[in-house]
Amino acid sequence: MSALRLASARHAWRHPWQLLLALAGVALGVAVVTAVDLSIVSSRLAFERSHAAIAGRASHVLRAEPGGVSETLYAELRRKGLPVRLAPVVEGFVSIPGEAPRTARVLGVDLFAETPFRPDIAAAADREWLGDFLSRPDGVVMSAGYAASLGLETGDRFSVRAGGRPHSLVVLGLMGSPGGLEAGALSDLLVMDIAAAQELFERMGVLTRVDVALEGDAEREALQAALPPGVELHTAGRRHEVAGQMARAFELNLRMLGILSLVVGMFLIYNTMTFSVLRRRTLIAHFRMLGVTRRGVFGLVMTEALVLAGVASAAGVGFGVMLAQGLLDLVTRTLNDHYFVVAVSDVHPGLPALLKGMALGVGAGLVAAAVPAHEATRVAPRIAALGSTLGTRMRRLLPLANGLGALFLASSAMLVVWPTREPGAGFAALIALVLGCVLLAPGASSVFLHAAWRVAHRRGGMLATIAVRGAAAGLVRSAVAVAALMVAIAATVGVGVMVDSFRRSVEVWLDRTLRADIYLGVPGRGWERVLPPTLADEVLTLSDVDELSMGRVLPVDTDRGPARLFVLEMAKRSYAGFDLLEGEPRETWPAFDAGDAILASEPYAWRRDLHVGEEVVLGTPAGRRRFEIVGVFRDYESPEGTLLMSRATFLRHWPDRGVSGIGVYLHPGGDATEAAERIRALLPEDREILLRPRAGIRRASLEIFDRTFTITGVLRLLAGTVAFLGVLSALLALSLERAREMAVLRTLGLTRREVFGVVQGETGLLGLVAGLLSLPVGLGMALLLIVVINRRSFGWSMSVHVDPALCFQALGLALLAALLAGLFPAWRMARQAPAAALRSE
Amino acid sequence: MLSLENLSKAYDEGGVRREVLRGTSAHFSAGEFVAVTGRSGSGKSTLLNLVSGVDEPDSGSVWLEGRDIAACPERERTLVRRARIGFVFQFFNLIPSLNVEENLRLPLELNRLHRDAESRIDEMLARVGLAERRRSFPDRLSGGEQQRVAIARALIHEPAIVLADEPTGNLDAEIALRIIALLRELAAQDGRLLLLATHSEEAAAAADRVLRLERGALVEAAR
Repeated sequence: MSALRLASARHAWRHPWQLLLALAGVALGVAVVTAVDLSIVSSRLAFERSHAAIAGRASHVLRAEPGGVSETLYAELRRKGLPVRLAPVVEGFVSIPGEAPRTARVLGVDLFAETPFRPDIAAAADREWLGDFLSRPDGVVMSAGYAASLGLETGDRFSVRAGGRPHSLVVLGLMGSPGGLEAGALSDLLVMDIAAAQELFERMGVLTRVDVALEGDAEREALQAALPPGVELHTAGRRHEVAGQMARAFELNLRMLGILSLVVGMFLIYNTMTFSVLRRRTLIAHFRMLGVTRRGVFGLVMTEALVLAGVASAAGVGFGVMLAQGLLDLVTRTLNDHYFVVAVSDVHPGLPALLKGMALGVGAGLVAAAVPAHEATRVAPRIAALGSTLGTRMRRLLPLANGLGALFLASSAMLVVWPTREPGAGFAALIALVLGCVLLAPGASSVFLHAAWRVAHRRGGMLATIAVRGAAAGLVRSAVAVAALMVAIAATVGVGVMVDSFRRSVEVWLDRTLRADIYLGVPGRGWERVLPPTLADEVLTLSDVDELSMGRVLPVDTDRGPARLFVLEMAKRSYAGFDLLEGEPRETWPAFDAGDAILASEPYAWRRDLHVGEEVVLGTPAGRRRFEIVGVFRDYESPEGTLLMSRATFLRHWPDRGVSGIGVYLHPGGDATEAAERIRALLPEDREILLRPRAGIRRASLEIFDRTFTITGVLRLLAGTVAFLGVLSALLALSLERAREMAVLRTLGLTRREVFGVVQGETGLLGLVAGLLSLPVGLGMALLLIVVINRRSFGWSMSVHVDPALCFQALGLALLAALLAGLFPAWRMARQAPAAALRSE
Repeated sequence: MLSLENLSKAYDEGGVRREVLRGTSAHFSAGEFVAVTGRSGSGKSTLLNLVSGVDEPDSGSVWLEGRDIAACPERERTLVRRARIGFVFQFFNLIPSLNVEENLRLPLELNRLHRDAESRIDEMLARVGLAERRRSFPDRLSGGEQQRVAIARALIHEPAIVLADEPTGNLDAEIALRIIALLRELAAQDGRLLLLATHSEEAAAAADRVLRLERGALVEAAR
């Protein structure tokens, strides 16, 4: 090792705490980014594999939504001998009860038509189970891995619920090996014969879709010519792509939170390298006297940063893989709640994600080290007053930092008003806001500390003055740590205000929307679930019941892509439950009830830039029909968006009379508990029907909301931990720098407790500055998140609500973090032997 | 006023034990100006640290005004030092975050001498000739000015002993002599003991008595 590198290594070795903290901070930052990336990539991969396994090699699909494709149409198309390959499919979801209930996807197929579409499934057909598969209504095959995860083997029976009805299924055979490639793709899939699946979902004679393999335009035209009205030919994967795109905004939000940790980690590298350069200015000056060039000095510091960031990133990537396993559950739960069904139990640590983590960590480290490395090249071969040189330099750079900060804030404002609906521009505005505030932080801290000094000087005495002045003088070293803490706390405030505003908006919305006293519904997932047809009439006969609302959610194809259709027969009291954002109630509701009109939910209208008066084309059994949008309503239920149609309108176009939810309105003053008991007596015993009072639905909805934001809280906590390490690192650096000053104070007669108090006073002040600065930054972030990013990502608007308690909590958190981080340095300074510190001079 | 009895102190330096003081004894009276000389590393600073209670001896006693401060707990030693001792260092060691006036105010505040604090500061600044620089921060002062502030700080709370550890080591010869004269003049007033650790013959020449540290023992030097 060269003498230069040896000197570097020894310096690092002599400050092990500093080195360890920087390593830990960067490693944690890289770990968070890698973990977020891996959990997203793994769930995506499972989603894609699952789609590939289910969709197979189909180029197109035939759909007749919302009712489904008639089986006779499929038979007719086959009889016509069209030059296209077709495979009928019945698809739905069942829940598998247990300690941790799971949702499984059921794929009902005709094995003889499968080979061109899903050769893996067709090839798995085993002579031993083929006969049973075709003849038994309860037989399923599944992947060996999935069976193992459910604790099942061939021949085992297990219970499922489909549309609330209990069923008993038997494992006829297994596909593939437990650890095989297909394991992930088929990890939540039960394959049945198509007739058995129809029976399971009570969809006799109806297919979910027909998969089509087309090879040319002629085939497509021939097929289209043979289709009756209401049946449409779509490109395969269209629905899958839309679901994927919807989830992308959620993933982008997560990635940005992950990057926040890395940015805070960058501050740590900057801090460590700056401190290392500052402490070695004399050494560097000696190097320069011995003939080391500026480039040589720059290279030396950058090499140190490279080694530091490299080691930290490698450790971070390793830790990230472990952390991803924990995050995966949170990510997939949110995806399952809001976007698509995906089952994934293991992280897929793909090389690209790992390399990305390494590259980001090393890149961030080098960028962060570039400034101190440049600073090192400016050390003159002879050096006089270190402190004043540095202080002067900081004072000189302050106007530049302030100017750049203002420029970043202006850029942020410009990005906000930029006419685009892309959430990416919103995130760019957020980054510009954070960078601007980081650059303005040292100046603002100075102003604040100057004001604090005036107070301390007049009222606080010399020790308080020393603490305030120490904090101000220490800003040269600690400004970056203050900025890092400010960013982390601001993120807490920003995301906290956003989540709080969102939650309150959802609560207000729920209170307005949930107007019925009791709700009846079918458990599970999937549009095929319906309530017994006579149930509504039976409930209405009860003396407590005043009126009912009846609803059904169905998938529908529109000229603007797949959508969710909410068919609703309103009770008189239901109308007030809709918060119309566009449209006058006096005009909207009569039009909605009478004509071919629909209401669009806010996310649906926002994503497609639709307004009242415009039209959406829906496929009906009689062909495509135009429906006018007569209102836009507030809705937080689905990020993909919903179209609301009256049941009367629906029944004019579709024959499906099924209802999947009933809202029961009691007579004024009616007792909901008693009424619920009477309704429960009407429910069939052979199937599960959910009966929940209004409060139960409200609670369940808010549970889903809170679950969605659990991962946000985890990521914020991790970013805060990195910031805490940053403050600890900066304070340890300061404690080394100020050892002699504290020793002098001890010789002047300050007790250990007083020295401890001075250091904790300084530390607390820095925390308070970070906390105070974090409030406007956090509120700015909250506004951007609510008004720009959430709106552009999900289409939701919400009212901003700032809870003063949250601001006080943030202040307290900053103070507590700083004081905790300062405990060890303060203890060390108080305990140090003044004689030893003075001897070292 | 100050007596050292069989004072010993050794340091561990890289695994090698180095005895700096080997059972040395001495007595000092109020109003005396005593110079302690010796080679670099002979233990002059160690001696002052033991006298001030900044460091603890391995054995022996430091009797200050009838109390063995070497036997006192750390907090008590600190409180004795705060009230009865003033320190002047080679590198001045002013508090960089406090200006001249505030550096002087610090010992007064620590000793709760709030009454007539302003007049004491004014008087002390006038005596060291820095009345015009009271608002200046240490980094704006020359070496000589900084040492004058340090002397003023060491004396402002009227300690019994002033310990000066190479106070001229960082100053040029002319200023060094002026600083020694100032120290002598200010310390001699009110009968304080001034203990000066120095390797400068010129500085030592100004003392009433010169002790030399040789092989860990204090010996009277010939004048």
